[in-house]
Amino acid sequence: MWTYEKRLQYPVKICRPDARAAKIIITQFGGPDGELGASMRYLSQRFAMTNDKVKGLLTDIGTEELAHLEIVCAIVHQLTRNLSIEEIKREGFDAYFVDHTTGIWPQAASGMPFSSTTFQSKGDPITDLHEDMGAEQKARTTYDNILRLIDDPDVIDPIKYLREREIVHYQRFGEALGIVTDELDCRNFYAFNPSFD
Amino acid sequence: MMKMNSREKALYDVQAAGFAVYDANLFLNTHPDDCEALAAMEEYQNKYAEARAHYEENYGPLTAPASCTDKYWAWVKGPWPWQMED
Repeated sequence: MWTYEKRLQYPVKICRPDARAAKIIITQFGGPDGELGASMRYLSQRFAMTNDKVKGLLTDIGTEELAHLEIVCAIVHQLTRNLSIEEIKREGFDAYFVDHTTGIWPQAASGMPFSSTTFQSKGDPITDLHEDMGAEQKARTTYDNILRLIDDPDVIDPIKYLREREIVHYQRFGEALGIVTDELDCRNFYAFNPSFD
Repeated sequence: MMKMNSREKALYDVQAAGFAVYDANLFLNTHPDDCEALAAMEEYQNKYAEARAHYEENYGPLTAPASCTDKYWAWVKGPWPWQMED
């Protein structure tokens, strides 16, 4: 069960609109390595976990990713304020605009709609936690790439925060993998699937 | 950091205190018997409660159940978190 706190996890205050940057940054909402996918991945995987600490971790990181997608959407929302039609056309925002105006819709920078095909919930703790570690690195690289493409300090600030969180999540998932393997036969971790057998 | 008005400053304090709690939460999930972390969490929770109380007294509710005493459902009052105050 979720409650909502009427605040962002980290402040976002962007004075200068920039539709070009918005098109890129929206990928961390609905893109292949974005926060929505991360949240759904973890919140889905938690059901198959057998260890309580791992259930807790997936629930809490999955929840934090919802707070992160909110930050990404706030950034995109503020970057697309007060745009003129000339700016929309010049900054290549017209294709998104025709379908969504300046509304927020989960898609990648390429325009690909959000899809659960970008993540797995394999029902096997070792597999899922490896997926999660990979996911955090993919997200970190995406933020690295975003940082190469933007120069507004108001935007850089929350993006750096989100990037840091990926690294911390990676660390926690590594610990969770250790917790899971500690409970398995050290001669063969793959002898059985604790979620099923 | 951009210049903040008094509401934004009070909210920033909530965000900072809330972050310490959340990050400690994740650490404790994988280290549930770490005494130092448990003690730190206690401290962080207290600071977070203080920051939230100060914000809510002056600027309105942060969670929906907190806003039921007045004749107006203050929960819906803006600004909402993604808005810029112009």
